[in-house]
Amino acid sequence: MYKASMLAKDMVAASAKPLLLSILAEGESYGYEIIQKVRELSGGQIEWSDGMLYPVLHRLERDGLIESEWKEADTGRQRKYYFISRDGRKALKTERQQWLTVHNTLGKLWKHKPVTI
Amino acid sequence: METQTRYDLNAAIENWRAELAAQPNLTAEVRRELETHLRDTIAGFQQRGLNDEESFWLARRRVGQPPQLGEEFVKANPTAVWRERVFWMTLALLAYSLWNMVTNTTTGVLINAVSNWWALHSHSGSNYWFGLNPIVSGSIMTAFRLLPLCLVTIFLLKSPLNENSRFASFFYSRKNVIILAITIIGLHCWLIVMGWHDSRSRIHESTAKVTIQTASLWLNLMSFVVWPLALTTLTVWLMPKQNRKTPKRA
Repeated sequence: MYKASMLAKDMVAASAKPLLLSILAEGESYGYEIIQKVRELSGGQIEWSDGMLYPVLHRLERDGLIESEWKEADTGRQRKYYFISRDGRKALKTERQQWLTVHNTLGKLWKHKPVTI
Repeated sequence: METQTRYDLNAAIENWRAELAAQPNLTAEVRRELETHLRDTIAGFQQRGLNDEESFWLARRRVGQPPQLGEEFVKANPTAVWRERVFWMTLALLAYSLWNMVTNTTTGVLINAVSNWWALHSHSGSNYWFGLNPIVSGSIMTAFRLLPLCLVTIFLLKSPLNENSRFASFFYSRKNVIILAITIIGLHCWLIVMGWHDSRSRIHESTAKVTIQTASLWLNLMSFVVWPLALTTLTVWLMPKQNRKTPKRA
């Protein structure tokens, strides 16, 4: 689904859901902006294939975790904006706990300081 | 002297859109979204100093090959395409059904008006329109019913019926479809009831005959109402999700 330049493909795929939910939890956004943000935050290590982002967004929307709305952008063109739903926030909380569990476990194994929620 | 031809970015995007439209697994909404993404990516490259041609080809590569995109979307939601196809089929059936209602009503009113006018003003003693025989006058009325339908079909075939057109976006609104359908169905039913009242006030008949007439009126109304209402409900249910409601933010 994703092409990863630095990160393993499976890792990129597994992190797509929490990444998208976390970005949208900060405010509404659209496909292009989301990709730019992920690229910027990961320092270019997470490279999503542009066209492949949308099937994931649509799946999250179908699952009721995010919603969308067509709105006019500054350029005058219509653009589809996504934003997180109530269920999405709950799902994000669960995802966060799970990822932190993995992170803390690996941190202990690798002698890193644990992170709390 | 060297001559340079200007790269036609709009034509390139148009060709890309045509390639995308050839993918049966991409719905109109997905194509629209991908096009917005392509345009954003092109603008991003242009801001970085690349020319139109370079920006287009890099953006096109980033978004992905149309067949590959089609495969990804069908994996993500296999029923989406069929849902949209069935939506347009149902909408066409609904439009045909409503069109029949409108023309049935208007031709009925027109036939009565013209026949009455002709009966009053003609000196030929003939009840036929302008002295025309029933086959000719019937053909005129059929043409009256079918001609606008043919014109609409030609318009749809000739005009680029794409997802951005006003025509398409009108029918993507749940509210518009409901208002249009209910207005036409309501108007038609009102005319049927008025016609029934008119005939009842002119003719004094036995109670049994009146009961049969009333029952047939109800059957008539049911047959006119149930089918279009069922189609309206199905159309609204199948309508692609965008613009069906104003989303509430969490």
